[in-house]
Amino acid sequence: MDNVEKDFEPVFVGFFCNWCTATASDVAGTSRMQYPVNVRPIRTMCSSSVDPLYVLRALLGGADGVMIGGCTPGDCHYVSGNLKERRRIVVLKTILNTLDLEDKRIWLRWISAAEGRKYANTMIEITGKLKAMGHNPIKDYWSI
Amino acid sequence: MSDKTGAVLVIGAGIGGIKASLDLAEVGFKVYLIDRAPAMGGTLAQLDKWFPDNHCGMCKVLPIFSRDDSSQFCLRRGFIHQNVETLPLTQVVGLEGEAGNFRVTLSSVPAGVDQDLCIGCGLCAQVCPVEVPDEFNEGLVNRKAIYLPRPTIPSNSYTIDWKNCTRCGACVEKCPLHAIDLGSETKTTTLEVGAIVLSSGFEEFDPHVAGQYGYGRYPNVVTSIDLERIISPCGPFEGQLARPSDKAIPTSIAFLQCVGSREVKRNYCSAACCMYALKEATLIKESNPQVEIEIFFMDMRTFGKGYYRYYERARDELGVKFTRCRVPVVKQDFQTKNLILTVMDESRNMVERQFDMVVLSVGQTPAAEFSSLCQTLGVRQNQWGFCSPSVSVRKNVSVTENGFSVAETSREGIYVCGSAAAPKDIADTMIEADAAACLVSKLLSQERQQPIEAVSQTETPEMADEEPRLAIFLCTCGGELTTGLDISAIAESCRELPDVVLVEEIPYLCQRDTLEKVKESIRESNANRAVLGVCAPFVYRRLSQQLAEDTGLPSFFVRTVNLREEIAWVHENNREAATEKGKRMVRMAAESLRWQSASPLSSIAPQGSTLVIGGGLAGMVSALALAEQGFEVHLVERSAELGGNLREIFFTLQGGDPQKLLQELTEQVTSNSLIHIHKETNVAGISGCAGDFVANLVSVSKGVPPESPSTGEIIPLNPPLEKGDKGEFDDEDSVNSEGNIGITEGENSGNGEKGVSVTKSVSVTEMVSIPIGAVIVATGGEGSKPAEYLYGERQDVVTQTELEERITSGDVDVSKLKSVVMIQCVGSRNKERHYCSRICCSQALTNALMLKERNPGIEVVILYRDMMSYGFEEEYYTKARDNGVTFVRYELDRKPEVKVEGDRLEIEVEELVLGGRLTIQPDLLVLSVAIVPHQQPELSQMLELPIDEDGFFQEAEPKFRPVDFVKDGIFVCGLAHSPRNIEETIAQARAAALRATLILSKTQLQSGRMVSEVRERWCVGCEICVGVCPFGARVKDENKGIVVVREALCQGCGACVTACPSGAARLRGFSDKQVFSMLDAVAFP
Repeated sequence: MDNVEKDFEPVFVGFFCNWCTATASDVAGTSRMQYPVNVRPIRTMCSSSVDPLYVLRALLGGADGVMIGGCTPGDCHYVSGNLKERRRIVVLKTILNTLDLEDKRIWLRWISAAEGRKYANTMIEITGKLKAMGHNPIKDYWSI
Repeated sequence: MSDKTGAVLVIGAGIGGIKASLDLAEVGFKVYLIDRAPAMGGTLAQLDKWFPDNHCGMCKVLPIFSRDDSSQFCLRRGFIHQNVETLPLTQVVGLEGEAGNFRVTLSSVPAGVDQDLCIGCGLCAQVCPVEVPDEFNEGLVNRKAIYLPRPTIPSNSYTIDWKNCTRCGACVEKCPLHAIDLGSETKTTTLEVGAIVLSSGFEEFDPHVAGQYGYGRYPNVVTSIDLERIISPCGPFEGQLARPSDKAIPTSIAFLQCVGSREVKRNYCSAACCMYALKEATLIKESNPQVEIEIFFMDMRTFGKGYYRYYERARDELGVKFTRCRVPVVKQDFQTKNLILTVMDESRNMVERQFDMVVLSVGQTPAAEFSSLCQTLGVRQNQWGFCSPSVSVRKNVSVTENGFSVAETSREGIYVCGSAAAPKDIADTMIEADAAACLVSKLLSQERQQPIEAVSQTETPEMADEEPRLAIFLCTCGGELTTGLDISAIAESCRELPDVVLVEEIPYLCQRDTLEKVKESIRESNANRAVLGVCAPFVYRRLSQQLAEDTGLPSFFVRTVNLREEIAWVHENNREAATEKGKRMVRMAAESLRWQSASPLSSIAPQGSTLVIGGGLAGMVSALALAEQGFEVHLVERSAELGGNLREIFFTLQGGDPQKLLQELTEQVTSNSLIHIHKETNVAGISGCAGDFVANLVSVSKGVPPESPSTGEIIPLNPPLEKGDKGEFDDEDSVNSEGNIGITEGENSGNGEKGVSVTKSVSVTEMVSIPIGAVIVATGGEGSKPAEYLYGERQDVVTQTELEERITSGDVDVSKLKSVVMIQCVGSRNKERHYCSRICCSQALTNALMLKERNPGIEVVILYRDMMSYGFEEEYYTKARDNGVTFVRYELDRKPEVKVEGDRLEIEVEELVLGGRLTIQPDLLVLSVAIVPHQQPELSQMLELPIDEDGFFQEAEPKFRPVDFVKDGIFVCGLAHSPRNIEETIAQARAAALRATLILSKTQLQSGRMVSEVRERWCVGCEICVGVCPFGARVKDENKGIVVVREALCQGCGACVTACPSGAARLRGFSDKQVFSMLDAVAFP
């Protein structure tokens, strides 16, 4: 097991807002900033369209982590979608904790359209943390 | 039909030009947007965040209706609108003709790189031997002679800097697409346009000229724009604060204000520098609180909406220090590269202070070539070189021959906005851009076209039932992608995916001929959906949209995967894992597409008339602006007279005649047959949504109690009625000879189907329901009544407005006055009202100069805190001082004391410059009182309009949507928004009218393709989603007991989908099924 975990390459889903984080990923791309390959990005119109159900589904389905990238507070293209999402994620984490499931595999980050470096650094950070955590145990509870 | 040309030339693609272009394009004009720079965005592109909210928000400029016609991504990446043609590197060299029919000659410098061929790979820049400072990053880093004008923006193509290019030809050989042509020549073209908008902006003052600050000699002396690039997350230092000499974080920073402004050669205020210095200080303090920041200023001019609070926060919460002192010279310590400033300390001694870094808040000056541009266009400039419409420069040309002109130039058909007219900030530029657009729309109102429906209406319900047949095209980018990715392996894995009928590898997917082949393959394979593995420029240039249109596929049936910027370029030397990521991403897109349903667009047919609430200056101007474009207007005024505050204003700084303006406006408004005036009338209720409101008006004079607001009860249901069925009426019906409103209830029955409830209890002559498409809120404000300085107790204590009235009526004889004292900021910028009333300093200057002119021997003393004589008003401040007006500054905690000594007023104030106390016994004390809004709680509740902390209406976005509300179809202007002077009010009223025109001019308000929907059987009508939607796009249908979506208003954010507890809300294009299949594609083998 230890050996497997040593070469462990986590896979995490990134729900990225079209107006900010997804654009930041393009900035990182245009500047050819290097970051780990482990993210599987999904472009959404707004972070608030990320149903906690999608986060759960990703974790249950085998992803090792989920990151949601939204606009910095006050910057939301749709006024306050990012803040709505923040509440939902807080609730989701609370529920997961109550069920004794890991909530540390979920990240909500504000990355503005200009912050290519922050985007790359966030990818590095999350990949590093997931590597340290090892593979997602939730999927072991299920046999699909 | 007239014989004018329905096309507009917009000169300058800064934010003002972009705003004017977008709105004109939406109204229905063809727009040519030119810029002499190789890329769009102007000065704004170099800035990241703006005051007063420290956000960007530029994307909020994008159109709301028919939004699929224009870009739907961060505007910094590029901007596309089907009615706008952008021409970079282009200048105007000739102009013939007249308003309505101009013939413009344009000269375009070649980019040297074929913009359609360039794939942005950057090989050319690698081999280029020439290195020059990068202007975009203010020379903090270097670039090559072949370069990206905006280095981090993918939609840009490479461009050759001809001035520095040595024509060595290395790039030509290297370019894999042979896109570079060093021999290309300047191209001249001609255009036919009906009107021109001049929005060429400003150039930052070159501080090399002001040698005393050492800019260019001392590395740590930077300009404010240099600092913007230093702290920009996508700048050369990636957002880390660092000083240029040693890249260390400075421990102390000094900002020097008014560099290049408020001096003899440029005796104007640049209007934006106080605020941007505050913004930069705030941003630095937020990220590096330990940095000591001191701002050396003359007056902190924080006159805009929300600006004073911003100043207070920087000063009181963030600990930015403020010192009132113009620093004469900056020296450098050659060892440490620190800067030494000679400044005046608190006890008024000159001392030397050391700072790690000095920021020069440089002013705005006209661009170098601006004079020749103005000559070509035949428009006059003012003494400072700006194309100002102000009357001090040109007395004969103005809006209504009364001395007020807004956005107009000396040549008919050419309009000006932004810093080309006068130094200003973004918020005012945005308002003026729409004011200019409004004048264009008025001039060319006969030529307005319905915007072409770019979105093909090819989607049919049958398409949803068709079996998906996917074609997948993967671009190899001529080897650019295959080095980091195994495209063949990805292609191989794609062949195994369900519903895939075709997988092809294409060398360059973006090239014209290959795109043709792709279209051919789609047709041959009979595929009905396509996935394209491409790069970011492909996405931002909307080639997929083009491909969809050409092949007849609905645009939502074409998906792109960014293989370059999201994989190949960021995961170098990790080919295997990158290929795996590529496989997954293509598979995710394919899965999402398999479950994509065809989504027919829906629309609302807007009503053609507008309700303008408030018959003051703002209301009258916007009503007139709409009527002159051919739209019907209902102008509601609660008093018996039109004019509002304008009736009490008699003098202005620039010499315009407010009473003449009032008279002319009233005449024009009353004589215009499209404007129905409802005097002594209140709005009892408004319901509905953008394009389809119903307003209930009730006459005040009859003493009828206003009806309780019926918000929420009235829901226009789909499908909307035809326009003609909506109970339209002509003037005879609406206003009878007594001026009463004469719509009968019978006519309202036409609205019965929409669920409109007309109150039965009120008799028909006093209550009227009117269908309207847009609402303009111009409810105004007034001067507050001070409770200090003996106001109301003595006849010789008056407000500025009362002074004007008394002089005009002859109650006050100026020749008999010996001494007048004016006190500024009475009720403004204090603990009660944290805002500047903006107009009082210029009003005080106006009246002081007027008194001095009528009685040169009079003593006028103005007690002030900061003189807000922004822009060209500065000149009048100088003039007042030259004419002997005395200015004495006081502090908020040491306000002047006003008492009665014997029979006379006595004013005592501490003199802060010389020290000691000053005692004056004036004949008259004039108070510059705060402007307060008329409180409108009912209106605000009725329309669900937010009110800010100070009681003014809160607009959708302070910078980019300054006259809009978040709920579309309702606009605000005049004092209801914030204090502003006559010209600024006219500008804002026109801007509001133009925003309303965006709705009124369309026959259909089209929804976007990505909108939410309700699965009717699942909806329980709990209305949670209604509260979540910021746009009012969801309403309860009381008949059905469920919620319905007003699709045209829906912006597709999906917040309702997540909020819905029963799963009834669904976002088209991002349904549960699609997301789940995408997630399955992430991890399943």
